[in-house]
Amino acid sequence: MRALLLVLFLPGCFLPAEKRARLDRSVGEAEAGGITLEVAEGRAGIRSFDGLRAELWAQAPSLSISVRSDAPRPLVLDVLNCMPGTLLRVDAEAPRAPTPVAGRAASCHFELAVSDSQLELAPAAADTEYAFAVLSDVQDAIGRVQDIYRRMNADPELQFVVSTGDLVETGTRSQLVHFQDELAGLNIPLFSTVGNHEMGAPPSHWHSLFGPFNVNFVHRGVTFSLVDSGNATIDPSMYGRLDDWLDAAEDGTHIVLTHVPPLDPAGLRGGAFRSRKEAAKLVQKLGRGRVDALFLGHIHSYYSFSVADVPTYISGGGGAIQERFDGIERHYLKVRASARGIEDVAIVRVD
Amino acid sequence: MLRWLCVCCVLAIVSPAFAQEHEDRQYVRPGVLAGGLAVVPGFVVHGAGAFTIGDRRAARRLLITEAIGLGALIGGGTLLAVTGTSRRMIGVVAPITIAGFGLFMLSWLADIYAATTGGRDAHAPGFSPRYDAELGYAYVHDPQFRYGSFATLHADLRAHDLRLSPDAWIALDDDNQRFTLELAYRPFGRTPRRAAPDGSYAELATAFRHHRFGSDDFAVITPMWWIQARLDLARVAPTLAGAFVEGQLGAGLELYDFDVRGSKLGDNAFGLLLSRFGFGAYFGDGGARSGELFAYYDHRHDDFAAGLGVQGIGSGILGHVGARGHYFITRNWGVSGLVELGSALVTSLAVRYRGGM
Repeated sequence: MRALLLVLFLPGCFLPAEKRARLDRSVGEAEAGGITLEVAEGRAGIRSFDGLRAELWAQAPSLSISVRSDAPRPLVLDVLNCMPGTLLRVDAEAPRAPTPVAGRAASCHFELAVSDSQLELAPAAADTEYAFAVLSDVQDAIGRVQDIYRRMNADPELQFVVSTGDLVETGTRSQLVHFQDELAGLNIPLFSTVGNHEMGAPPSHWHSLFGPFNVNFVHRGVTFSLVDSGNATIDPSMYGRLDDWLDAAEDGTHIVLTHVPPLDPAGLRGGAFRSRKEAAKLVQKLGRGRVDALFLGHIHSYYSFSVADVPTYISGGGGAIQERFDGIERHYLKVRASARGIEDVAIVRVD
Repeated sequence: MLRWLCVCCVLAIVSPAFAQEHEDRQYVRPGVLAGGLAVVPGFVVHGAGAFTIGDRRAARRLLITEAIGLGALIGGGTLLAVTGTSRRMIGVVAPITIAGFGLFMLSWLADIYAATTGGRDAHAPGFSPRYDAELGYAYVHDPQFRYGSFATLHADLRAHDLRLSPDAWIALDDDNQRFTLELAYRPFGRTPRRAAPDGSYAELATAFRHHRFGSDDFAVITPMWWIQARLDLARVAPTLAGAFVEGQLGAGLELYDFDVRGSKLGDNAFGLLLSRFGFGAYFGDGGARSGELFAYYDHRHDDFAAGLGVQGIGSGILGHVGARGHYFITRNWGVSGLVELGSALVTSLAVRYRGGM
């Protein structure tokens, strides 16, 4: 019965995010010239690798990279979207500081000699309480995004930016490259999942330029889970990963970000998941998992509310066409967090 | 879109004069060719099909309906874009936009029907049963949930101008149950105590629904209110005889009962827009052996089918599409079926019994 129905009624309708979930399984793996790279948990996309030089796009502050080689050899490692103050430790050697990649503020360039090596990139130790920014829904306002970056650069407390997506208008390769070029003006990295405005082009573009669609990392006792809801749904296979992330972060601070609000506080509008049943299933999981904050985008305004006892924030202030009559223009959120929880969420107005 | 609206308005204005000049001239007989013309170029100029089979009045009315629908769709869509789907205007603008889309689609479907059939001798039953019950099986394919098979039970109990309709869907392979109780008042149209010339009606309804997702540890309580109406299209033109259109507009409030410590029902309340429109056809002469088939778009995202899965940037906006129908083999016994496609696929088949006619 099920097989017949699936054949008859286009499985793509039911699992629009399946291909992206599948692509995530191969993020951070590359082999060339007898040398293999593997980024743990797919936390960085390998944009190019020829056996001598590798270029990565980091989607987390810390990376763990396994290198497998049949003989010692030189390796040039460029990590774009890299945290300032990042140090690299190769096996048991002393940590080394990077030089920047030309034209990229948040980047790390290393020249190494590797064989079977374990590379650990991590920011230098600092205070456990820190601040990060949440910025989403830039879309067609990319031409004005430097205003936002300048404001962020002027705030020394911000360590990185996280985004729920809608960085560009439709997700074409040229748009994504343009966005990454504009990021050269931001002194800190921006880690992002995809929004619905990245769904207008094949997922291979994001996969090859940014790496993962879904990513989870821990930074100074705070867990971040960025979950792909670009099609107003989460792929069923992702719920298993999300369960693991929720379990692992049960006793710590856990921040979840996804683009489309599971439920729209202006319910008649329905700027939310395509299925409210699925939305409720997700929210129940987040509530049960004692998530400390849920950050969403998609709606170009600012909302703060609670659902299933999870503090929830919608912030779509990157400049895409704004919701009117709400007094909210371009903005981002500044969040102070630590292993003890969320200390503060403040709206930073850019206009 | 704007160009279409202009074309439609101009045609609506000039068509009466043109129609008088070419009164009742039939270019093509009703059938496949006329139906094809109703599709192309009929999708742009609604009434093209009726025009080719010689029904100028139907053509004019369908064109005017299209113009009104397009106007509402474009006007509403523009307001949505300009206001950035403002929370302060969405309650008015979204229903107007959906209603505009509905009028546009229904006038097109009606034109195809007229051009293809030329009108049919089929009618709604000439009686209103006091009770009408069905027992069935439903299969739901939703990759997000474990359930699949359901036992379904539905009844319509009518007295005076009122209808009470209990409805239950109980999963046979999962811990999932949905119960709905609907109360409707019908001030216009056929009831057990009031005769009517056809199946047209208008109803005011309210309902209360409790949907328990036991395996997923939450439940949803939904009070709803709506108006619903059906218009038999024989009233519009003879070439549309045997068909009807139906529309529904209303709102609900979803209260999510999460099994989470500290979660309060009042914090988990979200509004719900109810909006459905569709086109249907009767089968039979309105006597004992009769039935109907109804195809529709339903904007609600909360039921089993939920919203359509769409590739691309428009994800999450659309509701689902569906078709339901029934046919009574005898005066009392019949069968009914349902297919809905959204983020899930819903199919059902039921045995139906009615009495008290």
